[in-house]
Amino acid sequence: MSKILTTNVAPIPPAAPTNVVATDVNAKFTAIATATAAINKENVRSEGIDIRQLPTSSPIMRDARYQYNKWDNGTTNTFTIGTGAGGSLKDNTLNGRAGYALNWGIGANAKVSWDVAPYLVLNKGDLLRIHYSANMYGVRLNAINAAFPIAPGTGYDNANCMIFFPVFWDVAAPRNSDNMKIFPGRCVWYNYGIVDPMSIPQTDPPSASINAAERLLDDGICVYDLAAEELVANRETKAIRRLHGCLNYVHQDATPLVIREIGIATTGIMRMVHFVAPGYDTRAFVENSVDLTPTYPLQLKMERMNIGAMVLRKGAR
Amino acid sequence: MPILAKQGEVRPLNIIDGQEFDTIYNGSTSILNNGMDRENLPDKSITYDKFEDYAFHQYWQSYVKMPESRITKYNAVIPNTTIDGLIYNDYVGGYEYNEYYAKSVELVEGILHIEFNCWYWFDPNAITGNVSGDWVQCQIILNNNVIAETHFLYQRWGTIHIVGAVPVATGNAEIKIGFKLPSRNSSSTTDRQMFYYSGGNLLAINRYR
Repeated sequence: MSKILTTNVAPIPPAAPTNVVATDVNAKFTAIATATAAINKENVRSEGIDIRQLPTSSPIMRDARYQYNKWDNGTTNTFTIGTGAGGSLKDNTLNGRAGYALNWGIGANAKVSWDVAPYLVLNKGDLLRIHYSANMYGVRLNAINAAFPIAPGTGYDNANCMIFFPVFWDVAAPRNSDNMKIFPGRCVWYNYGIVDPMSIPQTDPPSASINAAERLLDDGICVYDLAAEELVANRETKAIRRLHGCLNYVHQDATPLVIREIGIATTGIMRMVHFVAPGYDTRAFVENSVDLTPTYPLQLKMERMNIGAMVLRKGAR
Repeated sequence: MPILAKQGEVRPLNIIDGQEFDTIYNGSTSILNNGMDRENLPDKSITYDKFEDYAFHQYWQSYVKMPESRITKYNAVIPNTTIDGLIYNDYVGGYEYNEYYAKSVELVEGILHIEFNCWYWFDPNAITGNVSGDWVQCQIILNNNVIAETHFLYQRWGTIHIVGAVPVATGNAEIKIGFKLPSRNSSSTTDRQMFYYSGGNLLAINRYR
């Protein structure tokens, strides 16, 4: 609502007598009718409002949810790269890539949900901040050594890890891990068909992605070091970790992003590679040419997961 | 306070004392003209969509990785033993700050909350010849002042999460991320890739006083 610009109806003395004719008064009041917009900062006094006029919840934070439920996904989970999953690890596809949703399996799980419409709606400029962590250990990690049989002493276990990352479920049906999605612009690294895109040089900033159709950034992941105490073939080994990852996602698209659940997925084994010709790239990727199935399936156990999500309203610079 | 003058004909007669009328009239319009306050507006009447952007806070979020200028390409007969990254020949010691991905921000007086999250890798063989003592350290600096720092991180693959919150004054500020590595072992070479980081996500939330 803009300011009302009508002036005095009475002429200022001594210019005229104080008697004012009705037609002038009516004309002034008609002019007020032009100020018909909603009340805005033109009408409200500076520092004229306080917390009473604001909604009950924070004007900054749109939503905040957290879950910690001592989730234990049961017995050790065994899965193999490229051929499917066993146990309660769920084999699925994430934006066309292979991955394993960890917490949409059968039984107890750990995820944050918005079960009631309109669910969680991220508008342009909203910030979604996700924190997640979990206890984890792996056994029979000698699978890694079998896959990359490089002589001991040369760092043969140096460049392998699993990666974990947040995924979300929108309104796609059915509600299962096959419909989990990676956040826009975020990676998992491109799993398959890696050779040709690898000729794209890395740049600052990384505007060209491995998959040219998408800009894929690897923030939001956390890595799980597969180094273990024992590296002898066929002997059980363990790598005990507390994973912790964080994703800060600012929605850039004018089309809102609707989220009903957020959980964690994993994929791997991630290796760092370096192609000298025809180009190079320092980023890691997950390769499917290494078949770990026959002898050494990788086994992981994950439990005591917690996950939190917070959304800040407008304010992205 | 919905005042909409929809009726143009409010008076059938002339006003005898025009100046007195003006006093009353101006008193009412002055409320609407930048005079409304908590006495006029009902409780909980201002909803979220009424706020302008950056009304209470602003934030920046940016991607961070090791600058390409600091990376030496790995070129070995046997792949997969190490990766491209920083070599000791290019490392001057102490904290090395990421100048390329430094973030310049225009702050408003209040609190600045900074979070940095990334994954890293280092090769213990390259750093210290595979003896104990290999580590990496990370810190956040705001206008060249340290506001948060990790302890030594000994795990060769790891995820860094580091947070700091400081009071700030209005004006321009610069946020940078730094990493520090130990001295090499006397027996190790100086041209082997020893450190790399990527997937950095720098979030700075400026909440006004």
